[in-house]
Amino acid sequence: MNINSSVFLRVSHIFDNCKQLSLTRYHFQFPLVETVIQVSSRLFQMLDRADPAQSEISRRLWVMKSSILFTILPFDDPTLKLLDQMQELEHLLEYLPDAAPLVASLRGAITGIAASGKNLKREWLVKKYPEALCEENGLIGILTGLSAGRSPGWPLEKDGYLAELNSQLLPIGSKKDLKSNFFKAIILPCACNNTSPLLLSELFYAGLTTKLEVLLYSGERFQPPKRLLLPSDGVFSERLQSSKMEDDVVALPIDQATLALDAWIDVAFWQALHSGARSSHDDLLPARYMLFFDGTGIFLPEDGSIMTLPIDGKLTDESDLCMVRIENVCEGDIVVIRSGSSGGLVDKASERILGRDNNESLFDKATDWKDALDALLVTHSNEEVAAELCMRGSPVSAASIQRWIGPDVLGPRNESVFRELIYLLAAKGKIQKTSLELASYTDIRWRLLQDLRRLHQKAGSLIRQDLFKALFSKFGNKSEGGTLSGREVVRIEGDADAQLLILRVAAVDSITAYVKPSRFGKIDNLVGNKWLG
Amino acid sequence: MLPSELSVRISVLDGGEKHILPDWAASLVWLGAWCRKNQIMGRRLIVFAVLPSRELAAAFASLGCLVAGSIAFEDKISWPIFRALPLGRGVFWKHKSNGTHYGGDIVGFSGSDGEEFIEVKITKAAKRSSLGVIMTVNKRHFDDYRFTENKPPSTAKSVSFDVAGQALGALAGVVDPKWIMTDFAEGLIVTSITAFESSIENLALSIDSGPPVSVSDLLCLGRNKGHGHAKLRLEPPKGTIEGRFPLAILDGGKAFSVHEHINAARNVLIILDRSEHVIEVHDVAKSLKSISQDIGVDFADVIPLTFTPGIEIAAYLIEEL
Repeated sequence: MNINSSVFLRVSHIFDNCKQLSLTRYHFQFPLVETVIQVSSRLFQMLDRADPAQSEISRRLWVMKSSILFTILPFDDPTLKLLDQMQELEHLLEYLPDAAPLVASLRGAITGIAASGKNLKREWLVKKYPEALCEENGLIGILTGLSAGRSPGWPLEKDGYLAELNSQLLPIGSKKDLKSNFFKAIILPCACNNTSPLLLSELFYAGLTTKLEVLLYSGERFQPPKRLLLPSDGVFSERLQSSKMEDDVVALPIDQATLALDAWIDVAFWQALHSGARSSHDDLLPARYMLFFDGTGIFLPEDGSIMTLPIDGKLTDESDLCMVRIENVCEGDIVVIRSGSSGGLVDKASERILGRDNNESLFDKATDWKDALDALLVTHSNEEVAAELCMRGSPVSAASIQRWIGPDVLGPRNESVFRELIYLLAAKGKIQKTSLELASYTDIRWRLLQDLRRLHQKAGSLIRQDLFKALFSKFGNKSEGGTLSGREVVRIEGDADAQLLILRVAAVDSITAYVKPSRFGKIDNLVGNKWLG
Repeated sequence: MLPSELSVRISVLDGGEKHILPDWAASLVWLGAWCRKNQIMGRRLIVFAVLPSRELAAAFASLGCLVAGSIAFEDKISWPIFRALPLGRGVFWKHKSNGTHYGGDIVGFSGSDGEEFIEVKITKAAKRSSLGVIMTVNKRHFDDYRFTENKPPSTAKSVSFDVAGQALGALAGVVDPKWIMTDFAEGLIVTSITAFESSIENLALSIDSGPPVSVSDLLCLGRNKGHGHAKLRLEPPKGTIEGRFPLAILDGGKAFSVHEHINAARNVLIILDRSEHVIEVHDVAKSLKSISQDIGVDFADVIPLTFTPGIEIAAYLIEEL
């Protein structure tokens, strides 16, 4: 038995790795690179990002800076095009005379860096992990998924390039690359300020390695991703031991000014792709934007769920088709989307079933109490309602209250919580009924909700069966051994409207956007968009 | 029994290779036992365990649940419980002396001269001639039969249950031999059943260097929807849950989100991996903490001084509604 064939050994290895995990930051002194970081930051502060031309300058500034910080290529490698980038930037900055001294300084630094060609991070890597010493010692992962879209500083074809350096080096672009892999070490080639937090957390906390090595030029600041810890309980909290890495990590002061450009690019990148509002309005609904490897993107309701396939594309039975909350989808996941609808498969199937049973009003009747909850939330916060329910012996989270108002969640799943909620709404005057009427109202609504849930279950099961059948008839043995490509189209027999897209997620906007419901499920073709690199 | 002691006494056989029970697994066996053992009248124990990986965690925790259940067992399949069953209810029984199995329906209870009787109509029997016969059992002879509401295990399954019973008995110390065959499940595991079953394939445990017993046999598993004899029942994370259990183990984020308010068990152990410990779960834990009472003298067992790094546990004691 080995780690790949034994679940027991794999889990034991994960715990051992967590126990021994160490984090080492390697700091490299390179004044010219430090100058690029500082000058980029100062230039960025001078720019008016509301102006499209200056926003474009900011983007190019970030790409050029990141081409230097993210890369392990030699700085004179033609892939980086540092001098070309500088020239184009200079051209755009001609219209900002105030920036001239900074531009000159930046040009000097870039020219010096390109002329030297010497990338200290690369030299460290070649020296620390020479091919000869690495045979049979396991894989060395190097994080290449450094930003949404294409990471600056990296060639498109990474595997071949890294294999030339060392055949044990494996690029980690998404969660897909972590499947079933353990690493002798994982190298983070920069401060990872633009890396997906979910991917970064996986590298740190999923027990994939014992050694995390972060390569930083002076001026770069790295912070490990934050992780939620259980609220202390007075019994176990004093008896738990953190791993070595978590003991070692000391929060370093962060220069917010140098981080401003990195923070802006994350927001600007998504804004340029989807232009969704960042604050709520009456007619807008919260949404998350997903970018796929085939260069398309889509808005999906934030509170919804989406069907996913196993990350390696292998299907053995229907249970491999899982519903995952939209906010938990991350890079590398394979999702199933019904084009042209809200993206949710179950809704459509439920509609079919509801229509078939001539029972269209069931949903409205079962959820009419939502209006009363909505009214209560005008004067009370989610937290206050959650606290009141907690006092009534029904602990729920504030987030649950928020979800109950929305269309994607039917309501509390627990009968006593549901009853307490209705009694609370009555106590607050939002449902006006006598106590006898209220009891009967609560009974009926609970029964209707359960009927509706059964229908949803039936729909979920139907769609899973149909989809599983369709996937197998289309791909046959392919899904057993091989992997699905970035985009596949499946049609479900007997349902002319149902065109299902199977897409691999490249990036997910971690910030909520607010959009009109009509934007849900519309697929944007982003191929050629300059922000995708 | 502390995790360190469990590690000494239990060996894991993984596809033929022998390993001592690692710290993480021993801690989960201990935790499962602690959650099952501490049944406090009028209160519920809600425990979260957050781990770097939750594969196999529910299996080891449920082993602890079984061991604690076997120790807590008292032979309560008694006349009063049977007497309370409604007429028409299907039951199974086995005559202790000759081992003959029957199935039938309760058709009446009667009494005369201070004696009480149960009347059952035989619907399943080895001999065709017994079918339809109404059998009367005197309360005084009730213990000569082993009545159950669930179908007793098949002969083959009985053998594996006996083996499991012996291994669990060795671990637990003195255990009533009736426990393993009693139709009462010690816990419910809400999990993705295919993944759970495949994770314990090829895995066996040996207690005190005794003969290895496969984990699937040792856990005496059965589906919750089925009516076969089982000491731990499995339920997928969807739909409603039938039955009542001392402990429910919610294995994973999906099990928690679907059955966050599970009422089918007094105590609940929620097992999550770190990526599943999301803000919604955290909010629920915070709410529970705000209404949690002190876990103090009512609680049995010594708690280990430390747990192996990677294991995070929090326990909250709340009023039972």
